[in-house]
Amino acid sequence: MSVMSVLLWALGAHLLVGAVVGAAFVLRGLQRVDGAAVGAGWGVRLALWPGAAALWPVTLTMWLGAVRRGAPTPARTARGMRALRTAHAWAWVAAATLIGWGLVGALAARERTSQVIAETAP
Amino acid sequence: MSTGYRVVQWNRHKMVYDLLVWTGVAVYVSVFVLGGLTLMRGERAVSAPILVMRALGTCAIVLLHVTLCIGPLARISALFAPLLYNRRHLGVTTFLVAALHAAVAVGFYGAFGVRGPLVAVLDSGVRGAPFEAMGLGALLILFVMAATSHDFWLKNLTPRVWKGLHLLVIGAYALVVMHVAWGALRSEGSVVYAGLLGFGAAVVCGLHLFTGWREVLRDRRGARVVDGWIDAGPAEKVHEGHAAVVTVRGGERIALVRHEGALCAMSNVCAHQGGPLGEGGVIDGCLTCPWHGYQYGPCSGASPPPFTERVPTHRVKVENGRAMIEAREGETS
Repeated sequence: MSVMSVLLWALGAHLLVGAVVGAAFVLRGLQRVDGAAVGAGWGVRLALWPGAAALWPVTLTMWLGAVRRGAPTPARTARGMRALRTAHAWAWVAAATLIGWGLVGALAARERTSQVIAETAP
Repeated sequence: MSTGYRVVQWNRHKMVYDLLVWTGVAVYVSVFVLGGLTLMRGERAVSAPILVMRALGTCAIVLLHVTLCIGPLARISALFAPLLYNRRHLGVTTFLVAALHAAVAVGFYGAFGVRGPLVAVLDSGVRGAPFEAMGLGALLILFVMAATSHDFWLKNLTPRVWKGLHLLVIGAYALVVMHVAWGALRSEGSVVYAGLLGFGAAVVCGLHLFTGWREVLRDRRGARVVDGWIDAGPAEKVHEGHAAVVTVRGGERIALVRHEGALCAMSNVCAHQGGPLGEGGVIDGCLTCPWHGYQYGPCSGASPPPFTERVPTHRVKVENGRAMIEAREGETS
């Protein structure tokens, strides 16, 4: 079994468990986590299901109250934003570097492939 | 806002925005496929499924570029702010179009083998370059972002975690560029497509690097806190009904606003998505975030009832014509 097959099986298992946990969450747990979700319609529950499934460990943690998060206070939000701005800038530096090298590498590989094809052509 | 959830908070602006986006997608894919079938004949002929796959793939890339350019452009000019208002819908559309591209590709290249279609496609790899896996990685990130785009997740993950999660789009973009460069472009003879991809990447990265580092430098050159007070400059520079952003060295930004003659100050960070309140203005007696229209009493920092959002406020005094803001956050009431 290839590495890719193993990864795909793991991804499939994650999503399968997530689909079940997510469905239970949007049916029963939503209103326990967020008072504003009390009386939410089927459309809202359906819209939240993919996210609840994809992040099912987070969903489960929220639902079971395993981690007592404080309410998101404005002050906490404000402190986080400055760090996020810096992280955002550095992430783009890393992405630009990676993309630059990747594009150059792909073009070089294409040239090599063209040469091999030309040399091996009958 | 904070009073309940709906699937989509539709309004006229959002409906027009989405209608234009989906019409644009339909027109693009139709013209691409029909144009390909009509113009590429004989030896150059390409089958309809491949044309559909290419149409959806290039459409998703164009949408991703547009989505990623909106943020920095809105930082450069307020003219682009209306596009920012509904950016999440554009992101979800990008994921849906990319997912269709992936479905057609997997169905076309992997459906008829003895192994599973996805395994067959991911294991194939053109000359050892795992460009399919790069595409799948990007698609998974776009899925997580689309799946958590609802306000419920923004509120319950907290804006900081939610925005941190959505920074993954930068990784998705890098993977998409690699997916194309090491995949489609390897077998494409013309340099035009490589040039277009390089140009797009240069524009996206250039805009983000320019605006991102400008913001970081702005933070570093902010006003100093002296004896607990911040000198925000001449008080008269903030006109009635307008606001200004005050950067503070080592601290978070503050919005200084003049309302009914009085100067008030509050955190510059909107409680919704962290939008810059000081770049907004007073509408209906409330300081209004330029990103999504969240509103706060200029001096209380509290959203008008029935909404419950609050941002911290600061005391303000005017000394020798200069606006002085107390560094310590006050309690909203």
